[in-house]
Amino acid sequence: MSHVAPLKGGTSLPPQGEDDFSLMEKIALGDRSAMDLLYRRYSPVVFSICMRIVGDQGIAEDLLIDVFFELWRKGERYDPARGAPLTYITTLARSRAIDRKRGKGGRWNTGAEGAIERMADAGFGEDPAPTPPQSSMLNEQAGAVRKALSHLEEDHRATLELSYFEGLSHSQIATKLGKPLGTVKTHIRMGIIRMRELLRMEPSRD
Amino acid sequence: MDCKERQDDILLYAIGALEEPERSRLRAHMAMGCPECAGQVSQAEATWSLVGLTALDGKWAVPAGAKAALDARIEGSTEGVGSDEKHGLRLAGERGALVLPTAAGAGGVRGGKVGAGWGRVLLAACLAVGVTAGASWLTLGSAMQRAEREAGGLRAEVSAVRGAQKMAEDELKLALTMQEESDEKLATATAAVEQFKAKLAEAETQLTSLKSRSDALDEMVVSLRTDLTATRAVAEMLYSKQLLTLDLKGQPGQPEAQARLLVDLQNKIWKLYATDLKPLDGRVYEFWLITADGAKVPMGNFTVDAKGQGTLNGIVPDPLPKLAAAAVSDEPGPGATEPTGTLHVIGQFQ
Repeated sequence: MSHVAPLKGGTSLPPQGEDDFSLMEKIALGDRSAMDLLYRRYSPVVFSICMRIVGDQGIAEDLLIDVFFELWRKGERYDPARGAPLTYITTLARSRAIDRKRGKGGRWNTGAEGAIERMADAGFGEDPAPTPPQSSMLNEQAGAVRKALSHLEEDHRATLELSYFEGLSHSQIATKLGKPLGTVKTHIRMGIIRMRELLRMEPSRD
Repeated sequence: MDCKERQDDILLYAIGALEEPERSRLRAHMAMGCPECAGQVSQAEATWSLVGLTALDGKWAVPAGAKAALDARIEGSTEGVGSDEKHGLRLAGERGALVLPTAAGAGGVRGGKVGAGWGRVLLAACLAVGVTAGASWLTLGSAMQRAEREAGGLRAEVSAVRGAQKMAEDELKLALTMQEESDEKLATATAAVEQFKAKLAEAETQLTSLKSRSDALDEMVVSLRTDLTATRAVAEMLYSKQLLTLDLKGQPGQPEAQARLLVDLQNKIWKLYATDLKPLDGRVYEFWLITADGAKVPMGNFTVDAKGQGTLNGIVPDPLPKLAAAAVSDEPGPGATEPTGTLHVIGQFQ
């Protein structure tokens, strides 16, 4: 049985200056600098998930903004007891992207172009890329997950990806793959269990 | 169903694939405050969310300008009355809150025109007071927001605990009611068993009594049958056309004793009736036939009851020798071939 490199610290990135939990707490209290830092860390992940799901750069960009704006406005809704911030953020991104793909919600428009110009003049308009260590760790984590997925049986991996990125219901996946519904559910279940084992997030059930 | 058996449901629930009614059941279970299942859900959600990281493969860069648009949206949402509570200080609940300007918001006073000297000092003092007050309001506001969140969490926990307590109380009431019913049924059943036991004991006593009577009756029947058989035998002998009788007289040792021998030559049977013979201790009476040539033939032995009565019967020897006498002696035991003891009764054939 092979293993991929375990994820350190569960699904959270190691803290760079401040950990994710602290950032989320500060965002809930209206701390803009915490918001900036969180955006630098996770905007690539959120944008990539949105792109992968909707396949349109403009819509993905809208979604990216929607997601972080929602984190800002409703940051107090995040409950640290229910999971790591990264889990919350990626879940939010996937959910919004799938909603958009299914035609729920319209393109965002606030008419705040004047404010954009003012902030651009003030030097806030630059798009901050993740700092190299953050980017490296994110990519390392993503690589570990990709490797874990590649170790799954083809059916399990394909079913997981269809469910996650295509947002297909299990019935739709069953139809698309020509497999019974129960088999699809089993593939997803087994895929998650195997992935968890590969990432050593918990002891093997075997 | 225990928490271990819920693991498959938990996985499906975490990815939004668990269907009703299992979904509602699992949610109700977790609402009761099961840390194990809640932890399992969190773990499964975390694993599921990792699939999204595979999208981060370097194909797509975050568009330039996205951050500016986000900042603009945030800023835009904070402009205007009540546009965003984050810009100001919320004093009450989430909706309809009173929003006070913060230190940043207080910047509006910069537009005021004040004279030089004391005016500038006054302005500086006002600004300082304003900034201090704003900072205090911010701190207080932050604390209030934190307290509100914590209070909300506590309220939810209290609600969950109350729900669990209510359910436990209901279950306890139900259990107590069932126990009371069970106790009543048990008491009724115990009383019935006791009654049954008493009746059973009474029946056993009656049965024992009846059995004793039955045994006595059986014995009586056997005795009567024996007597009847004997009586019939005597009657048949008396009806015989060739009946020979011989009285045996008591001898000096037992002068009161006597016996009578009946010989039915027609049916070839004989019977001896003895009376007033003394019961013997450790010895038996032996009946002898004495032939004309002096031979003594043992015919069998017998004992007598308290009245001194005893009987003996047998088959007439064939051929019947010529008989001279009959006698009864006492012997040490069965099987004597010659009389060794005293002769008690003797009779002579004519």
